[in-house]
Amino acid sequence: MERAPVRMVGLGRQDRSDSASAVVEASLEIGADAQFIIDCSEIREFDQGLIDWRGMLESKHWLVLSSSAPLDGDSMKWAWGSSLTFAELEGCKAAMIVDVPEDSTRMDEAWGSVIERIRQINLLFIGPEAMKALAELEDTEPSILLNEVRSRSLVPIVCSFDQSEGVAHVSHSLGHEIVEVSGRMGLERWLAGFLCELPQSGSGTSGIVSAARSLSD
Amino acid sequence: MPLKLGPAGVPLSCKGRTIVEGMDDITVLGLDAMEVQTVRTIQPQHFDQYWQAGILSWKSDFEMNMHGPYYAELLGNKRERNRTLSKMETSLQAGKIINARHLTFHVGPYGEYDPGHEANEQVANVMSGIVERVREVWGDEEEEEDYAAFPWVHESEPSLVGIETSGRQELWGTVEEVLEVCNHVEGTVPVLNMGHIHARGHGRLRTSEDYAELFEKARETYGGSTFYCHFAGVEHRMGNALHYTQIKKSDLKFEPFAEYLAEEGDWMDITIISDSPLLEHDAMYMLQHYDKARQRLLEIKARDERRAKLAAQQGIDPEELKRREEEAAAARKSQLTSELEESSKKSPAKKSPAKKAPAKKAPAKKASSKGKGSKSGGMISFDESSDEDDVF
Repeated sequence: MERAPVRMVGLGRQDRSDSASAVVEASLEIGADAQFIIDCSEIREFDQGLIDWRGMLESKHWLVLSSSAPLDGDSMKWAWGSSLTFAELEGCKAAMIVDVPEDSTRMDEAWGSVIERIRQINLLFIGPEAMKALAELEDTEPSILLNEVRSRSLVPIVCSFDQSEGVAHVSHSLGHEIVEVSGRMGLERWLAGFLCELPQSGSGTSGIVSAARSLSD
Repeated sequence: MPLKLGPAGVPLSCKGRTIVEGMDDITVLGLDAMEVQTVRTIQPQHFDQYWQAGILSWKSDFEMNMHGPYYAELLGNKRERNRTLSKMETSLQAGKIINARHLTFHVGPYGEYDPGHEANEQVANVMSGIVERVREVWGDEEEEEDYAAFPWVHESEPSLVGIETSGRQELWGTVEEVLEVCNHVEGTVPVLNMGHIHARGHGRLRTSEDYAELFEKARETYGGSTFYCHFAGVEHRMGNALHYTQIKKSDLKFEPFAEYLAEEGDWMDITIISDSPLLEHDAMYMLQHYDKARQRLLEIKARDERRAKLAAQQGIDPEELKRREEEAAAARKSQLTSELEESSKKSPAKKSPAKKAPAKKAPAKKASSKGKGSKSGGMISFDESSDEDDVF
């Protein structure tokens, strides 16, 4: 029996130049039922008050966001916060991509916004560049950052993907997995595959490993 | 009983993101406390915001509190301990500016210590140093002129140092450990994180009696009546907290706690901070349940008083009157039941479809009402419905 596609929504910029948009686009390519909260045609300062959050998030598996979005102006900051709250209310899991903002000196601000909402986040993906910046901010080693962030914040899944070596690191409530992924792929594609597989495979250790390998050759 | 309730941070629904704007929103919601999170390094630009919040709390009855670094290693090696202490120093300086009544700190992993007396003694030593430092910071008379704009620094008591219970087995902070240290170090207060206590105790907080037992233990060991609590839903396994959730999605319920507070909490001066993912929504939910529990208690008291008056008028014992009232109620109930049975005997053919019909209709009704809710959009409600689409 063919399984139903994973349903997700992404909160990304109108020009789709951010990491959340990239993950949603990669998810669409692999067959997910994915859509954007902010339409391409909307003007720069969209009115977040007009978004039907419930309609948008109801019965979705994932809400995909990026940590640098709140730096994109008041409307985006507001939409970002509202989406997390409504996702929590609607039972939609929030996947947050921690990336380095265009103005890298504002990394502290972006990470601060994530920390303020950490309890509404179900999956935290930290890109390799962000990993270094965060380790510096948190005064810790990059090698132990994932586990530290998970144990401090109790986010159910904290993960990263090293595309040069094809290795995914996933820290979760039952342990830490290092999963080798065959075939070359970018961060966004790996994360899209992981998000699309996780609702089916489950969040147990074997489910996580299988989801992390879902797009392997 | 002085009870203060509020969220851990600027409310999610707050249009602005400054602490003062958050305080305004909290007050509008009928709540009266807030805990400011200092999860990352405090930048100098935050101090202006903190001072404004301090002034507002000083001039009103609003209780400000501060949470120190989320991650601490007070039982670690010298480097780890000093790193934690320097973060704590920033928090307690900020706590002074913001007029914090409580400064909450974690202790962190057991590190080189085994759970027990030695670890507790080390924590007590470090905490007494922190209490001393708080007092130094607050009470420096030489700085009186500098602090003319901070009247609370000299006119009110320094912040109490809160020691928080932990939610994982590898972290220092069982209830017993926290109470023991608080008992030995003056100026400290136990921070009872109910989610952590529940998780670490394999789901131990279920009834109001469980809360009574917890606070009785606190009263016996620690002796004080000032408590600072955190409350949020929690997912837990094998005695470890896995993830914080909204209260409705957890097996940790607030109703028994509300019942305990309403019935037996007169002796306590308690602050409850909601640190659930739905910050102020769950704080409001807690307030509603506390009000309900109090209302129920008042109704029971009023009924007892009325019964005592009636008994005095009739010249009988109130217990005797109670017995008679119960008998009358039971008679009414049995009469009603027999009437219902008689009417159902008269029309037996109609009985079964009549009973089945509402059962069939019920889910349809629920579905349609949910549909309406989703169409209206925007409004946050406390629906009792469970997650139908929980992906995990």
